[in-house]
Amino acid sequence: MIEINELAFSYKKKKPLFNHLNLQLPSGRIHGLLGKNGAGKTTLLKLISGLLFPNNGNIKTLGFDPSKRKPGMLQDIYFLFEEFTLPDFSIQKFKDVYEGFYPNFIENQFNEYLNEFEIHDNEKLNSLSYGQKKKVLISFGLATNTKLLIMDEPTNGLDIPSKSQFRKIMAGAIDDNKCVIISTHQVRDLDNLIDSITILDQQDVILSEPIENITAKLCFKALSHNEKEENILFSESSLKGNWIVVENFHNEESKLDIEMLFNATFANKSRIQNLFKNKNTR
Amino acid sequence: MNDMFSLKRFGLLFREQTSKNLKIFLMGSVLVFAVLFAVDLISLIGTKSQTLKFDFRIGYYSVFIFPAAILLSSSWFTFLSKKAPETGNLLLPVSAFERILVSFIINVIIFSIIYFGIVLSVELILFQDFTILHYLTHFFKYRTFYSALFFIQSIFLIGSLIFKKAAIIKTGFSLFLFYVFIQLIYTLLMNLVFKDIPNLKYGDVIFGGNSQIGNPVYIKAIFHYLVYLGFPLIWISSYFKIKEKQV
Repeated sequence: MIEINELAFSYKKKKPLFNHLNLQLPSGRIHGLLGKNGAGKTTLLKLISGLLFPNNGNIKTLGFDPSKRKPGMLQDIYFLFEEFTLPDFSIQKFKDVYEGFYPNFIENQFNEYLNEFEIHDNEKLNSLSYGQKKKVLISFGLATNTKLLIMDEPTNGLDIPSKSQFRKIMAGAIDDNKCVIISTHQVRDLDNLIDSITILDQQDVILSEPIENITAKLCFKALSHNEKEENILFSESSLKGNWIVVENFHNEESKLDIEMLFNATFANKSRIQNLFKNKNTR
Repeated sequence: MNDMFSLKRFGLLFREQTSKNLKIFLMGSVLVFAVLFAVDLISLIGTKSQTLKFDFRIGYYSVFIFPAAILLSSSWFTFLSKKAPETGNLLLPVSAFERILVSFIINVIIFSIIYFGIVLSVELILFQDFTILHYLTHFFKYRTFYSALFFIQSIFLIGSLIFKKAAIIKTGFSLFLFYVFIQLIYTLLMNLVFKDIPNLKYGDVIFGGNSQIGNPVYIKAIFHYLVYLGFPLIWISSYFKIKEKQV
């Protein structure tokens, strides 16, 4: 679905944002793209969609060179931006004007998603709040049924019930032919939603793995104050004891905690990288 | 799939652009009408006559068409120059050629029709005069004027692609500086050509225009070709600029 090889990109000549970056994002998954501020998450999404062009290396998006921005590729990509302005249309008119651009758009789906978010299609877009506008765009983006759906901070501005509605809708929207990439800082919003995690840092991808690989290699668990554990990659104290991330030597089953994984990756970057590099040797 | 041109995509984009910019176009048209009407009316009151000389009217209609062209095309220029808010629009599944074609039809053809419609309405309301239609029906006779108009409009188009913020103002200012610079160079050159006229000053000769001492024929020809060729060349180059646009 998306293949990035030896990607180099910089906004300023002497300050490369990416260097020799390699990444594969297959279809049939919801990919979570994480990274600290300024790590280049949005830039990577723009490179994948063709809004920015690489300085070096190559990107294949849906089999196309994204920098050519060919309509054949663009009709299968929908990008939900963190910042946006919308035309002064009603929701109905917005749908009428833009649906034709996407051959797989399904009107009923759009209406269902709007209902789910409790938004009426006769409302004017500019009379809606930021969060409501975002819900309209999420509904529209999902109804386009594009092969690639890119979402930059989709849950920003959504209220608490809407976040769970979002998770529910997203979980039902993925199929084997679709690839969804969600970039966010709100990692809790991605709980139980994403199938793979990609973490960016310092010009490169430091981790890009399916959830099942991560939980096979790492164990996320709570320890009481008097329990001890070796090979701790990261720990965080709480009233009940410590939340820890350890290497999963005993093949324990645990539930991924994205925030803990993120912190563990930055606390023990090389250890985590080596662990996943050697995944085929164990 | 034809990635260069599809009638369906063209139609969709045309609809999208006209729906989105309809309000600005209507408001701009009302403003242009109001200004032209007011200038004519004030001049009529000022001269205390029943009518104004046609040459006077056509003179300022011709001058005002330039800011009107920029005003009515401003939404397109703003789209081209904006960074974040319209980012998504670059990902609409249309080709750069379709974008340019839609933009050309709206900003050159539809704009011209609207402007002439406005001028004709003002003429009919105030003077009951149809003479202005002569300028519309004799397009080729006035081709230099039209070319100059579309040339300047297209400079604003390319300016919108170069400047990310306040593109219209920056382009206007750059255009002014460029003209001053060209005029300076031209005055220096003319000093070399007209050696018998000592010390030609800035403004004694006007590049592409008439002046007291006249201009060599070939300079006028250069000016005309620059205007004729500049307009299509800028539109062609803006096609490549849109293809290369990154946000």
